[in-house]
Amino acid sequence: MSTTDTTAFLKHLLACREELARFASRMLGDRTEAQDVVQESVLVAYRKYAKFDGGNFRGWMFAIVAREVMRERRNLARQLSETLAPSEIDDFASLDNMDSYADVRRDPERVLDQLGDPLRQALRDLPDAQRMVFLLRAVEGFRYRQIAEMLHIPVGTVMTHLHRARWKLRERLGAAAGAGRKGGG
Amino acid sequence: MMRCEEIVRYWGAYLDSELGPETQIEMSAHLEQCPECADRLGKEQQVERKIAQGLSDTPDWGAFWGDVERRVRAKGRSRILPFRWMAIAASLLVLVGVAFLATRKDPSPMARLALAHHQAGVEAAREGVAMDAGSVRALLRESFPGIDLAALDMACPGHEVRLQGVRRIEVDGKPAVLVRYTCCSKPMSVLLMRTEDAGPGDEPIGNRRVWIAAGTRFIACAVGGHDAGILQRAASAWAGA
Ligand SMILES: [Zn+2]
Ligand SMILES: [Zn+2]
Repeated sequence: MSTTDTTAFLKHLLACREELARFASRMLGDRTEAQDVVQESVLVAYRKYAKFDGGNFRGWMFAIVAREVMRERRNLARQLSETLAPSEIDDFASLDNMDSYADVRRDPERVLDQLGDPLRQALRDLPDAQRMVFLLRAVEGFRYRQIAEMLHIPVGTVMTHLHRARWKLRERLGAAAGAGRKGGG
Repeated sequence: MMRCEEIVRYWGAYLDSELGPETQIEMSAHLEQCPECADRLGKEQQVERKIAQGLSDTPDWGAFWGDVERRVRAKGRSRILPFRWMAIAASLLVLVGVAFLATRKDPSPMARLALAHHQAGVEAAREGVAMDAGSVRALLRESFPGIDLAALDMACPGHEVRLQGVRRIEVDGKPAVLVRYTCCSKPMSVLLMRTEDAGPGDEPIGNRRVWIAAGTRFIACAVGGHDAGILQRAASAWAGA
């Protein structure tokens, strides 16, 4: 590859590398493992850079990182494409029956400012597939369609994983808020 | 007109601006007339925003990006080596104990060769079948007549090892065996081959250390998520072969 191409590649990378690091870290937890995956992804991307169509580099890069994360987590690809049976949690109204979540919803700004650790823990506790889809949407800002293409799953499945992730995170945050309220007197 | 119960169903897609135009219009119409739903959605939007904010910090990886950039530039200049396994932390180990030398700038030709074949072998063996230790030993015995199997031990000391597959490959026309296994759930692989010409050394490659040492009978190239210390200890467990 020419020096110009290499420079262009590195320039593209510079614009999104912190986000790739964030995504890999939040997916894998372990720093060394995340660095392995990101480094490998960068080298794979560089090798394929000639085939990059000049579109959305960030999305292209995230797709490569997602694939490398799947290699690290054997069950992830299967989990992602699983057809999930409908469940009562698919109805957001069920959150209304959760007293502690009502506290969160009443004043999200104040309550959630105090729940940084429980939030990160709740994220870690999500199934890998839900965590991945949630991060790609809510933190990294990709559209459903982009996520579906990245992960080779239907848009409907993206929505189901996302919905469950959101529901579980809220449930856990509600529980943490409830515990904090009782503990704090 | 949408009812309140229907609103909750579209909640996520509404906040993500992913509704189809018709549903979007119906939903907006409902929200204009229903303060409860509007309030509720507003709050969920706040919750969602706070969650995203709480997860938005990026990690400080120190010298990592500098290393990566150097490797990309080096790769741009030449294409000697498949990078994958070096990137993952390749470790070259030796079965016959030799003193490790201190830093050397480039990987030795033997290291490159072993890594390259290791890479090819690992990719070929990705769909390896599960195997028991007995079959691996049989294959090793067949590939390296006279090998002393008693001294071979796949385990990082104290770790649980599961064999996944084994494949015979050739390195410069000479037999080599690639064994894939997991150790404490991390995928590992070892390339085992005879060699006369490996130079000893201990080299940093990427942000990991690569152990290269020479033996007159075998060279083993281990790759996986383990740090070099564990691999080095593993090497000494193999040293009697
Ligand atoms: Zn309503
Ligand atoms: Zn181990």
